[in-house]
Amino acid sequence: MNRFLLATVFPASLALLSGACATTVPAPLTLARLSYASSADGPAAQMAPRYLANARDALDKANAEFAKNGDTGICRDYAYIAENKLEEADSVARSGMSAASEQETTVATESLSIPARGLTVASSR
Amino acid sequence: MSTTVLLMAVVAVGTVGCASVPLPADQIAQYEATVDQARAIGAFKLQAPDGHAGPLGMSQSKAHLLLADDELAVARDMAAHGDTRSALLLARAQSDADLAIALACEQAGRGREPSSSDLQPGRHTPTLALCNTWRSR
Repeated sequence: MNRFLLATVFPASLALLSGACATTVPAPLTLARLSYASSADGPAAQMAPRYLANARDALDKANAEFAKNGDTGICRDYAYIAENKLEEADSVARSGMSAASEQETTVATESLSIPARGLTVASSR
Repeated sequence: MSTTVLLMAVVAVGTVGCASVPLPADQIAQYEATVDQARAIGAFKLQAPDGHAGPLGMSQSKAHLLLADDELAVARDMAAHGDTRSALLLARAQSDADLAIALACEQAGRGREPSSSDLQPGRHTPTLALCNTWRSR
């Protein structure tokens, strides 16, 4: 029985374990991949495409490094940079949306004030 | 004779092992320009908006700037020890500094309508014009 365990079960378990370890994606890369999916589906795609492309570039480098050498410091560095660039893209997009919303409000206020002036003029006659 | 040769070989290997790697001068210059811009925008003095405090209660933009500074120090240390990954650490610092400016500018945009917290003494509002210049670079 012991010989059977040593000959079959143990090597199989070892192979499974090493296989599992070899394919474990580092947390920063997982986070960057998820963040990219979220940002690419959000306002950044329209409002900050240049920033999103920079993030994609860093994420591609992280993916390539992981595919070639596994979980290395270089892979984690690129994933970290990608995550920062995605956050930057989202922030730029939020700023752009906020500015656009403010401009719309200003235009709406100005268009509302025209009839009001007209009324004032009419009532003063 | 053989001892001398052996000693010379050990010294040569040691020298090569500890040889420094220069950090890219243009990337250092870009990083320093980014930090200067962040300072001009007021990111170092920016207070955390209510409910959005970063580590130690500071604004997220300031936290990223301090992190960038630490990463640059690590990059310099790695470069001095001949580690080629130092250039990537410098790139990490640059990404943190860029993010700090984006967050500071976003906070500046939100601050156009002053709230009660913005009116407290010591609050610093970054200059939106500088932010627009930075975005159009």
